[in-house]
Amino acid sequence: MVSGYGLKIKMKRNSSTKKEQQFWAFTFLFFPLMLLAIFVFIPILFSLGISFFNWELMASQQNFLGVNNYIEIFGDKIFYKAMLNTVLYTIGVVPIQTMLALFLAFVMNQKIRGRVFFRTAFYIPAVTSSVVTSIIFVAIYSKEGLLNSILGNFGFAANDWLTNPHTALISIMMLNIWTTSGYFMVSFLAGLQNIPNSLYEAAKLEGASRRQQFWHITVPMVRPVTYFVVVMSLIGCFQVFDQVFVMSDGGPNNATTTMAYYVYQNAFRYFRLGYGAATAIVLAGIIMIVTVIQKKYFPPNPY
Amino acid sequence: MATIEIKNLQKTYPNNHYAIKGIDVSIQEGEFVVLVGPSGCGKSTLLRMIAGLEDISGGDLFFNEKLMNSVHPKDRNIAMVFQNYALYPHMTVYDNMAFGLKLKKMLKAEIYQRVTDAAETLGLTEYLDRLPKEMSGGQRQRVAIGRAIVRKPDVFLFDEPLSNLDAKLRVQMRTEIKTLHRKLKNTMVYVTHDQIEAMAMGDKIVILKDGVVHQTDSPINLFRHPKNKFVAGFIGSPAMNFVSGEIVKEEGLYFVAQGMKFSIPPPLQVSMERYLGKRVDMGFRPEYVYDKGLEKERRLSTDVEIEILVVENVGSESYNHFRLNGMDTIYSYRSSSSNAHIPGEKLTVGIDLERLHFFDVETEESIL
Repeated sequence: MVSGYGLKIKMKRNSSTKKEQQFWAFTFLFFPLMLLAIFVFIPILFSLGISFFNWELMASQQNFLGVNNYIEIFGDKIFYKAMLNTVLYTIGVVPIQTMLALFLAFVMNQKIRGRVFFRTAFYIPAVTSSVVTSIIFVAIYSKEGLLNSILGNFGFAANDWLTNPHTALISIMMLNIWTTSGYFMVSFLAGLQNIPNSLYEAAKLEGASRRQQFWHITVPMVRPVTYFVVVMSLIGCFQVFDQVFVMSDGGPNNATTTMAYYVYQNAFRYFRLGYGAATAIVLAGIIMIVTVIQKKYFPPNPY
Repeated sequence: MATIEIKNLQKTYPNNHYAIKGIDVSIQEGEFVVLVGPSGCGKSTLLRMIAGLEDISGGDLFFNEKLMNSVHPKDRNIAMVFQNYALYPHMTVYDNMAFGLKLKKMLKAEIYQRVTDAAETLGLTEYLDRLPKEMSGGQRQRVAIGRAIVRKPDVFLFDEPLSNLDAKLRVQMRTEIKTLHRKLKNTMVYVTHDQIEAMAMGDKIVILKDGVVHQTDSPINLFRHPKNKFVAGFIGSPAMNFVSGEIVKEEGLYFVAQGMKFSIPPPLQVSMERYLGKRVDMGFRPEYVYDKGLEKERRLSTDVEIEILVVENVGSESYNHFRLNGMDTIYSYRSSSSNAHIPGEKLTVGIDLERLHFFDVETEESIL
């Protein structure tokens, strides 16, 4: 009798604790969810909605176009140009940036003098505003800028990097590689520190050189981190906007117009909100497809 | 095959911490040597210096009379088995074993031959295309051993290879490694903190503490003739019992402590003379304590009255723990299970006088 009674009380207390826990869990989840809803989920649905309209800010009644905006996209030469630029940009930036980040992390993980200084130095661009770094690079790339004066010492003719259609996109790519390599270096550093030292020692005894240790142990062992870095930088590259906005306005002659920039141009320069929204949806679709393909063919952790 | 000669070897860290304080060990060709000691004694550091994974701060290391101090690890022709196996998780068992051979640019057919031979020896043939994570701890350690075998090294180094395995598997792998040693006849150096493992495996055991060698000997000699109190207490399970007492002279020398009075066995009468009137530590093993009511053959000490506190029955035998005349120290006495005692039981025991050890209180050296 007595023990049964005690058990009952205990169960009751347990269940009330559980209810209480759930209450607080939902309370804490509610506010971030609400913020996300207001600033992310609802805008996404809203832009999906307006992509079917010829949406005008001043009009009292919006003109429904059905899928016409999407049809227009597939005939839009500038959109194709923007897509090509974005793909070139991604192909140029992602591999170099990933390899550079891993290389930097590998070097920074060795016992070298001034390690803390170098780590900080490489990471600073990542915590600096992209607008600030972009403005600095505009100065570096200008006709009288640092890059030309350095190259001039080696006898190269001065080039106006950002207004030359052949070099404008590459110039922006270089900036982005520089700023994000340090950022991803930190991810790789964390990954490297998880590799047991005994693996390197075993390899060393078996006669593996530094380079062989890097290719046969480091690279495969940080594969989950590499996956994360590639996904993050793929998404970042497909969405590249601020550097273009500050440095080149998509010019010259759309040489640096990227998809995200084209979305902005349509929506907020030409005020074709419906068309802009449709391009944004297509961009989101492309990013999703690329990520799915990556996950399918390059899984994060096959072993 | 190789002999290893370690001469006055030292390891100092930049903060002036001495990990190894001048060690001399000589290892014969084909010998199985175990480095054993409590944690922090420097045994792993010593092994890693032999491997070339740690720099040598002082002294010399020779393989086959060739100075090895600054020879790169890969050129020492050694193979090492690590405590955590150190298998490459992204490679199959086959590739794990073949990795070192591929680096040497050995012919594919030769690699295949060596790996499959080793796999056969270790019973890994059916696991060759598995990844390490798909195998149990014991199998992984076998792969690690296989990776060492295929390289046909002069010296095998083992760094606590069995400590991550459960007790049963550990005993089994112990036998396997010994069998392997008998088959390959290579020089093997094995590090462990487990004295039972050391006793079971070593041809020769090096006992280390605080970076110093305390004794190098065969297992049986370590057990019978420990050089000092540390070795005496470290080897044997349950550990040796120690009693502090005094040497007095009547008609002959006696050891007197806490109501016990033993006559010193004849071989020691002379050497104990200089301890007359001084304190010494007396050591006796739990194995050599006998129930006076049962043992009639051996020359036992005078009667010692004890009261049993705790009995650990491990099956074939029992470890009986007791206190002596109200002293705090707990002593143990091993009896056969057929003669089991119960806690609280009072009995009269005697200690085999042939098996007593005496230690200098200051130097802790054994008095011989």
